[in-house]
Amino acid sequence: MKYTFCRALAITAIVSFPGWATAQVDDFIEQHVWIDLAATPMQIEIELTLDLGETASAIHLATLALPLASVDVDGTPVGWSDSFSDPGYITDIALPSQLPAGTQTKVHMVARGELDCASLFYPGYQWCVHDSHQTILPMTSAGEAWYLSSVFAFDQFVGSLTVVAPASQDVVSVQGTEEERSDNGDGTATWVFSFDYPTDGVGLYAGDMEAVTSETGFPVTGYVPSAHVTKMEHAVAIAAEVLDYYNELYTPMPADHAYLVTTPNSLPFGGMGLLGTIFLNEYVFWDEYAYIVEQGVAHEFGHTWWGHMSSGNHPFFTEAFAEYSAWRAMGHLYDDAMRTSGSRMNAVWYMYRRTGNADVAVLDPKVFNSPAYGFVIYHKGSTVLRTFEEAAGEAPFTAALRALVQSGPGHTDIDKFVSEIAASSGYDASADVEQWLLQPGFPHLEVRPAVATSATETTLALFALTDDPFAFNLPVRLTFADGTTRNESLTVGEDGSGHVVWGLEGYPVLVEFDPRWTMVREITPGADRADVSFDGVVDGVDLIEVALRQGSFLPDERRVDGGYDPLYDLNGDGAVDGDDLNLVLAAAASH
Amino acid sequence: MSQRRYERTRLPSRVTVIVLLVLGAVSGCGEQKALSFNADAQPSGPRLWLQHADTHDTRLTFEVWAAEVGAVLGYSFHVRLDDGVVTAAGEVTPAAALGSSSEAALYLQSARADDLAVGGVRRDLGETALDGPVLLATFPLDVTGEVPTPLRVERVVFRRAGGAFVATSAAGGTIVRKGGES
Repeated sequence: MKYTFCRALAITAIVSFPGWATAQVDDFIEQHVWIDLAATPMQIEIELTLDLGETASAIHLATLALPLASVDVDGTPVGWSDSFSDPGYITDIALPSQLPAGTQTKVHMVARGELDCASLFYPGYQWCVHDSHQTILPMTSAGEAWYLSSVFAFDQFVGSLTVVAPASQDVVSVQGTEEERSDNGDGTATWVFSFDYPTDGVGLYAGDMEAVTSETGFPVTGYVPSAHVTKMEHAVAIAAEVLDYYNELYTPMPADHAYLVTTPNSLPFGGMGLLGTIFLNEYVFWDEYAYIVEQGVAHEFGHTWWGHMSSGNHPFFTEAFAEYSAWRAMGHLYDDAMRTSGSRMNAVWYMYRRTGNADVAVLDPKVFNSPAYGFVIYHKGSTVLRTFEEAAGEAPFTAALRALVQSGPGHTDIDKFVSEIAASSGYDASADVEQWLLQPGFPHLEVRPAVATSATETTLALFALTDDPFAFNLPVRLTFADGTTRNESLTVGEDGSGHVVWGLEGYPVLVEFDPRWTMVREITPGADRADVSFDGVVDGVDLIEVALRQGSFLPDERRVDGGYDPLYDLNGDGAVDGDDLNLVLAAAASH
Repeated sequence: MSQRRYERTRLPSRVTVIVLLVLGAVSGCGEQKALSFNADAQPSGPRLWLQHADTHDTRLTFEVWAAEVGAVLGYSFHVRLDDGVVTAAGEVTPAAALGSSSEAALYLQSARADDLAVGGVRRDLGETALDGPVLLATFPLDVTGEVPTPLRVERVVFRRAGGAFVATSAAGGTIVRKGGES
């Protein structure tokens, strides 16, 4: 399953060029790009204004996928060369003379020739498309660039994009607003896009795919091959509702129209989210991947807020936040059960499907190099954000997220995250950051219940134990025979144990721990494995609880919701079925 | 001095008479009353109740019935008893209220000293109408101690196919000697 990697290539660049990690980090100020798609060969002209990060004789920029024809710095022609250590990825631009740190300089370059769309990072794939029908240029990365980006950090700029394309083609970029479109009278048209909101993610589509526009909610237009028009109609309808929700939840995005562009399956990503525009791989519209459309749309548009309106120098602040937002949006569109299903799916995928059982802390600086990267960042990370929401309270946590967005791109880090949560809720998230984000793993909890009844009262005692270094408050929902419920909480302390006794109005026939999947955890009955209702006896309630989960399974593919909850998989074979029911029967009969 | 020796029937002393009368009453010398069951009044609406089916000496057989519950996916209930007075005389026999084949439904039973548990669930996650009266289970008990003793039906759970609970009333009763009050 292809990962979405709106920022992955950029992160790869930063991580893969460690020798430059302490190298100069110039500050991109403004970038204007002119691209003539109708010309043969293609021509790209770029004007970049930047401030030098340190005294330098050269600057180092992502290599364009088009051969350079000329470069001048502050009007003086200069030479350029492939980076000695990273040829093909980084281009060294000679400065006319050594310039002191802080100098603002203007780089003007013209590139002309055949656009090389062969992916450097994903051999066999194309990172772009350019043919007579369409041009698709996603967010740039080192060696796969059509505009300039910093190789060493996420660096936002304002600017513009001017595109000359066949007049018959639709053209969209990011930030939702086209400044102007003018017909050139020669079969081409010129489009101008203004990037007033600082960004480092620009995308471009020019083509003749079918256009589908939302009928209600936020204006969204999707571009799709004619074979998938019906599915795109659903996608834009979902996007319209999701964007209305995100605008309300976080802060309105700086765009009055959003776009959804279908990319061919030759591109290596499943989806890419930019500011107000997303790219979705065509395969999400195939029947066998229909389950991805809604969660994919919600996730990718989540990047408008997490990765573009706000961003930090770690994928946690983009991918985990986008994934968390997606399931929050799904809960808003449908119901809490839908949100819970997404949280559970993500937690289960991280807990049981990590490649080679590898694990790494969410905030590990080298997380991108780990085989557990996707599991940890997307799936554990998003569920951990749910944990923080539960601890802080939904409204205060939302206020903290809103503050992060409003702080703008490039300003999000873990310290700011903690301080905003504290400011809005009074909750000090430091300890939870330590255990959920700065160490690998998750709690495996064993719980033993004991119910005692007398003529005057019923008490439920719970004893919880874990060997894992986690301390937390575990939500508990008690259900009585008439279906009434009572919500409580069980605290597991730093010693790994928890104990509570409650006086109740009646016998609790069903005791559920964290039924809304607000954390990554595995919980098992401590006495009898078949007592999935945690009431101290194996009876018909346990039979029914397992039966209700029949058919659920631990999926082999990412983003597939098998409905799996390990509690009901008594024999641990990855499926809840008749074998598990028989284990309940046998356990009851043995008493 | 010589002692006159008499042959005569000894009449029982007063203490001996009293003891003999008490022993007769306790031993049934003159017949102990048969065991019986005073059922609690049946509630209205969705309900589950105990019904006395048979008595053979000290063994009583009971049935558990349900009515007006509607369409359900499954059920669970417990019969609580005083294990100092009664004991389970054998397995609880669930009735095939949700379907008779093992493919249709699964039935659970367990017997602890003071608690009998019964449950059933449809395997296809569909629903069966228990509008009733519908027999859910049968179980025998041996009376080993002094009655009256209560049988309480507790933790009665009926659930719809979507998992929703059905509020249900339950009625038990008391094992007594005929003519005895509970």
